[in-house]
Amino acid sequence: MPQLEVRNLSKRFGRTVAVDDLSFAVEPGRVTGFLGPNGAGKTTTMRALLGLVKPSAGEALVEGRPAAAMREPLRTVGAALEATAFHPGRSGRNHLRVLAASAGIPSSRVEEVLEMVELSGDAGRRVKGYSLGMRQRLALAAALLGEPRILILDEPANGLDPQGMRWLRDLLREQAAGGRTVLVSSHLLSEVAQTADELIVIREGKLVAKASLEEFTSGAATETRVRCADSARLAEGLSAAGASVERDDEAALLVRGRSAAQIGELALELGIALHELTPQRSSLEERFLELTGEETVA
Amino acid sequence: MRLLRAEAMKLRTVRTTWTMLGIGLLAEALFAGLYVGLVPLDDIGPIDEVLTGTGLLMLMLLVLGVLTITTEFRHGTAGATFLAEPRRRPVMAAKLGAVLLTGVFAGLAYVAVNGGLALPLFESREGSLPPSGDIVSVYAGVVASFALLGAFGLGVGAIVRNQVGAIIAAFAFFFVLSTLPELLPGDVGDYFPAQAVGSLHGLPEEGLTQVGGGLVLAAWSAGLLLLGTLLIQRRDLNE
Repeated sequence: MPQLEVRNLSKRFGRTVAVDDLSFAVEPGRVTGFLGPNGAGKTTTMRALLGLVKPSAGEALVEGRPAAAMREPLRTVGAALEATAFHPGRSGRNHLRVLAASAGIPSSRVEEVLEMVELSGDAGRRVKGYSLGMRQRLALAAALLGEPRILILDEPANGLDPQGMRWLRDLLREQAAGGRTVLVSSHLLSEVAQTADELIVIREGKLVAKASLEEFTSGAATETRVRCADSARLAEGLSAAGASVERDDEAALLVRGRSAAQIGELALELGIALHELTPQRSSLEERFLELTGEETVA
Repeated sequence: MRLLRAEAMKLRTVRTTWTMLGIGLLAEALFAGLYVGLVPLDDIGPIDEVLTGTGLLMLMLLVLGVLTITTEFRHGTAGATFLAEPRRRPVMAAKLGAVLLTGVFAGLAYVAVNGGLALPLFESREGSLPPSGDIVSVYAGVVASFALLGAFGLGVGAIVRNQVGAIIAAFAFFFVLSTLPELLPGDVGDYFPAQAVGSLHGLPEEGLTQVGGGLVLAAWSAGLLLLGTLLIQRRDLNE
């Protein structure tokens, strides 16, 4: 059974359609990336799954039932929705203690999760003084509090430094490896490409793609731009080696199906001097932008 | 019970609560000293001196009741709260429990300051205190009014949700409305919230009995809470 499922979910706010007849299922044991540009309906979908927002039509289910029917909510699903959702005057530790108290979780677990997100030293300070990265980690700590079977994280990478990003990736991988369900949203493909096994892409509230990362990537090989002393002969050689070669402007070639290193080695073999060897923006990113209709690279 | 603990902890773990109650009590003590200590004895009414300084504390409880729910929306903690307990009615019940407890706590603190400062000061000026039974019943009324005002504020906050709007609404409902009864015929005015608080405090000039005043105030709070809870149950939580 899918751990998270939306069936024909629609949500309107007044005249705005935030989610439009969206259906997908999220399976346990892997990290599912939930992608789309800002305003695509990711947050609304997640809030509907958590029972915070009521669907205008369709269903949003956790373990086959609406969130409101959960017996032990924090042990079932942990969520980090917004890094700003804290009372500024309450300390990080007390924020977690309040949640622990309402779910009957011992306060020793609060110290454990604080340790996990490396916030123990600052837990006594009021959230007011926290950086965005610290707030993100506090939000994650809250999500992990009940050792939930499902994690729903909305843009958890916002405000994290590269070290924090890496830590987050490891954490998500570890959770998924332990058989848990992980749904993590982002408006940047690069943030989830290294972590996600599965991608769900939405745009204007509608599903535009659902595929495993491999499937998603296979349709999008990387391109390399090559200029050399004898492009005709190199093109011939590359084609013979199974690469697809296109002529770009002037004397440049666009090569797919071979990495820059492989092209360089072939050129050496053929004795052709290379003038330029530039891997183009990954077509994976291009494909994502094409799907989501984003004009600019964020 | 878990939820009540969590809600009480929410109030306990922010400075605002303590600052507001502290200022309320300080004002009570100050007022008791000035009024009971300096005003000519003849001008102090039989019950007035007992009640010296409830005003600001009443405001504080009303506002604390409002804040109990509006801060959840203002700071976006509602998501976390209703994730830990997706059923919204029990959460509201726990919030009610927490504000009632806060009201009783504040009421007892008020009684301590009043009994420890205002009464001795009054006696030291050789004023004659009302029978101790009367004092006890006034004190009971004050404690009950603090608790019910917190509930009143919670109800308004659940309906209005926007923090500033809710505080203004609660004040308007309570104080602006209280000037109307003089213009109204008969004893309709006795059933307005501010007048009911007066009766509950045992002020002689108010129309209802003490218990009657308490019941009327409780009815106002219950009505607001029912409507507020209904709205909290139905509305989306996008904050």
